[in-house]
Amino acid sequence: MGKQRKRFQANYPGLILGVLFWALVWTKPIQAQTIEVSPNGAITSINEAIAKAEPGDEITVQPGVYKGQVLIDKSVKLIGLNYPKIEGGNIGDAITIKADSVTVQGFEVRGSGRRLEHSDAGIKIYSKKNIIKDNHILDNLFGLYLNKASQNILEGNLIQGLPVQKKLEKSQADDNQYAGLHPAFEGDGGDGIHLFAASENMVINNTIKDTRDGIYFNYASDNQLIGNRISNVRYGIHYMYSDSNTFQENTLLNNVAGAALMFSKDITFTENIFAHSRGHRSYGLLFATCDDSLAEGNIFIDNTRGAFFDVSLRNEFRNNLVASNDVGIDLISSSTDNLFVGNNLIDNLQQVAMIAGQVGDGNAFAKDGQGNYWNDYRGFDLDRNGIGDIPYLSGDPFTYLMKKAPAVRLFLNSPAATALEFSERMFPIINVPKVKDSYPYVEPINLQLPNLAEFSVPASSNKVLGGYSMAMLLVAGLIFYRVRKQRGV
Amino acid sequence: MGYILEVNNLEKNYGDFVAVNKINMRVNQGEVFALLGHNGAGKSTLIKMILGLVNPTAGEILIDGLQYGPKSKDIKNLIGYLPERMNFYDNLSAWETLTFYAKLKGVSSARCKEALEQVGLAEVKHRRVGAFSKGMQQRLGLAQAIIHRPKLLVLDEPTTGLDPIGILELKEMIRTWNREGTTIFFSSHNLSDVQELAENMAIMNSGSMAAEGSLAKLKHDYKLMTRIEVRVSTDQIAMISSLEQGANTMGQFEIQDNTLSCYCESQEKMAILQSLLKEGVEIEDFTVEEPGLDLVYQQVMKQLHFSG
Amino acid sequence: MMSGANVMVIAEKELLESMRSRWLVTFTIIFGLLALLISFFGLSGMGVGGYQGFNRVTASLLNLVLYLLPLIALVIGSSTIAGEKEVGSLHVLLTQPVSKSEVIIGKFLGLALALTASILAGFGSAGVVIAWKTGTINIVDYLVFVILSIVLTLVFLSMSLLISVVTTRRSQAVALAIFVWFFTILVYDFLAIGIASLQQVTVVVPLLLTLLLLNPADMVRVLVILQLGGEETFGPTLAALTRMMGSGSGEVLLGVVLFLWLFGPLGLSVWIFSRKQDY
Repeated sequence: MGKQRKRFQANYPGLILGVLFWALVWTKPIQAQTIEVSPNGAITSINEAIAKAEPGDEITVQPGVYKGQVLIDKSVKLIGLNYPKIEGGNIGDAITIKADSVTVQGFEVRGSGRRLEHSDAGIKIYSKKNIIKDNHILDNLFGLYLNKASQNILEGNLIQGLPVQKKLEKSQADDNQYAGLHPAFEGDGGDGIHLFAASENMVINNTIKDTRDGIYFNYASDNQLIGNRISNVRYGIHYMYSDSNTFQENTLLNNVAGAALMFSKDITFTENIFAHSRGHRSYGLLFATCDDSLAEGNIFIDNTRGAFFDVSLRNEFRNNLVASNDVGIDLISSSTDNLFVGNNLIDNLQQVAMIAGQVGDGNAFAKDGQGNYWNDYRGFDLDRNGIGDIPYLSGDPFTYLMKKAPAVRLFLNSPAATALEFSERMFPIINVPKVKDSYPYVEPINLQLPNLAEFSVPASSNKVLGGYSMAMLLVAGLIFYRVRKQRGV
Repeated sequence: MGYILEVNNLEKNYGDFVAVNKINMRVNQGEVFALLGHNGAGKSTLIKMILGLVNPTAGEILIDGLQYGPKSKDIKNLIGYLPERMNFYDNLSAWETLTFYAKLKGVSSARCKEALEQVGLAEVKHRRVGAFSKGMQQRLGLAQAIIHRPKLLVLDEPTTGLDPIGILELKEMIRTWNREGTTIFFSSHNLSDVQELAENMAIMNSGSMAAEGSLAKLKHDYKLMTRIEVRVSTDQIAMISSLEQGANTMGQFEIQDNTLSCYCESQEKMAILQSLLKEGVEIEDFTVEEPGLDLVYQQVMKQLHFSG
Repeated sequence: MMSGANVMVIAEKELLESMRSRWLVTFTIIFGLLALLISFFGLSGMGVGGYQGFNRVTASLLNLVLYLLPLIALVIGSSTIAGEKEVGSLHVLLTQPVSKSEVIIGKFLGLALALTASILAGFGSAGVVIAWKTGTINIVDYLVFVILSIVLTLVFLSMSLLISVVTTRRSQAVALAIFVWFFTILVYDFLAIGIASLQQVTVVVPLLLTLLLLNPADMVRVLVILQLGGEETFGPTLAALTRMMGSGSGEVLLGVVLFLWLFGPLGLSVWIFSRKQDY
């Protein structure tokens, strides 16, 4: 081998030089350089590393605390090892990205400024095609802020604002009648992810908690949202003047509204879960001046209102499960020409609520011989085609009274309310405005829905329940035994 | 021996209605005492006051010298009570019923067994009381009343609703308990029962005490005479008629055919008979008619009627 | 002077009698079956995607409990003393060395134990089947529900003893009991719904609070819903009311009022019974 090399060197010195030259000139941009930053190393500052780096270089950052704002103005890959901390020092943005195709991965980003008017953020992006991945973005005003930035991928980040508990304490301070309606409603916080005039971005599998809104689209169109999990915020997903967006498979829990679709159109959302939005003005889904959108295969469960429609036109709401909400669908008569079909409406205290007297023009609960499944439907299906033979009519005198005089709500579930419902069924004299579904299904519709397994109580609680139940039986048995015993005397 | 029960000037008014009006009554320790009267005479109210179920409007009740009030529980321990009509708890057995009362009275369950044997329910003690006949319920009631060996046993119309054999057995039990030292106070409207059992009695009418005392005392008070009737052979009539003027004894007789009859105080009847024999009268047959309680009762009521 | 031993003897007799009587067994079985059916069908209706909402099931159980438990307690309790008066055993009982307060409290205790045992047996067996077959239940909700059911029953039992003391015949007592049930469970709510329909919220809210406190059945219903659904179930109009009920002072108020409802009628019946003689 040695001999060969020698011969090679001897025979082609010029060629070697040439190769070396090409290597110097060409491989530099292709074969990236890796720069290491560590608290005790040669380079201790990320900004210094960026300054030294050429576009395409990878900067690996060792664990440690890195104080001061970071500005990324070159297309570099910034990779954190074991979540090094970047602390912005509570001024402006912690990380600012101005170059395209930057990757920021694996950092803990903290300490943006608090100025709402400057949109101070953990990471603010002004450019395209960046990847922000697997970061912990904590305690900033905004988590991620996309300013006219498009085609970015935001994936797997954890974004967390001030914990709810603290907000609650804050809101308790001014104790008016409506304070505490929802703790997260208060506060001056920024959003988890804010997209301003930013389009064609992908937001995937992020977890957002305790911010103002989860993901806020402001004049931002054509974005995709997949598999995010947003909890304890005001609006989980919030569209303002943002058209042609889609979101799917997101999980929205314990928010004031799971999703709020406002002044937007053509929004398609499928297989999302809207759950536990509870509070006096809480909604699983809030349509406000949102038109021509499609909701399909979503689950609305245990919300104060499942889906709320205000001045929203021509939307399609199909094949969703709406269950266990106080109000399943709340349809204000300003909303017209909406279509509700193929949904399972189960066990809502009020299946459909309307402003007194009006269903709203053109709103339909059946189309082409198919309606919805309503678990309080009392009709029959003699021809066995799966569709009830008489129309479903929602509403009874009690729900009507509730709408007219909200204080009546105190008598929810009372025998008197049941009696009113019953009397309506027996003698439908009282003219109460009703929703009519001419083709109600008699059995729940088999829907393709997201998995709700995580909502079931863990199996161990069965044992606890069993235990408690056995204890109850035991106490009952002891009482009975105590007396039985003396018979034999 | 003192009084087990002493009632002084007892009054009970229900609004304007006077149920019991200034009653005085004494019951001796160890006797059998009967309370007589029509329905509505005020017997029940009086008994309820004696039992402490109803408070008097005025007057006092002393039971073994004690008055109701803070000592009510002590008094109740002295009294056993059998109401006129009652049902026990249908779903309990006789044994359970009796042990329930026994526990309240602080009596042992051995005594329960004894009491059930005494009233003849030992065989059926584990049967449901709901399936008991009237007589069996009455027996259970008696067992309950005597289980704590009360000094005073109060029986309200104890014989009503019993069959003749039941009545006989009840009387026997009453005599037995009385022999053992229990004072028996019972109300009844069956005069023959009273006459048979009671040493002393009180008769109530419209809330007031009409009469009180032993049968003999009442007969005396109401001047009820014993009637003696003697039959002799016809040939002696002339002789007797001749005697009539002389002998003072004979003067009382009324003669009709061959029968002599006269009225006298009960204790005089032997003297009269003996004086007849002394005069040489051969007596073929004689009958004595003692006035019963029924007559006394009639007389009492008649007098009340006239005086009232 | 109250003797605890006497109270226990009477309670035990009352319990034994209740156990023997058909009503308790029948009631326990019916109650258990209904609880089970509601839980089962309630849950199976939700059998979509694995989510099972027990809250609504409990809510429908609530209606059952509101109908059934007060009725049972009222009927059972009202006939206890009136019934003994009618057949005469009360006289015998009162000639025993017991005080009238011991009789009332003993009876309350015995019937309370019988009803509690019966409710626990019903909910317990339903719970065992749910745990075994379907699972998924909020345990705290379930326990709170059971406890409130028992409290509701005891409150109505306390009222029923008062009824029993003021009446003389069983039929009269039961008739009054059914009237009270009908009034508190149904008529009262209709009246209250009428009041709640008034438009001035400032007037309505204090009125409603008063109405709630005056009817233990309503109070328990509202407490259960607050536990299950949270205050927002009642909507923003009643926020002040429900928040007040959820706050510390509100809980104390509710506790005190329930306590009064539990022991007030009982105390009153002891007082009346001790003075009454017309039997």
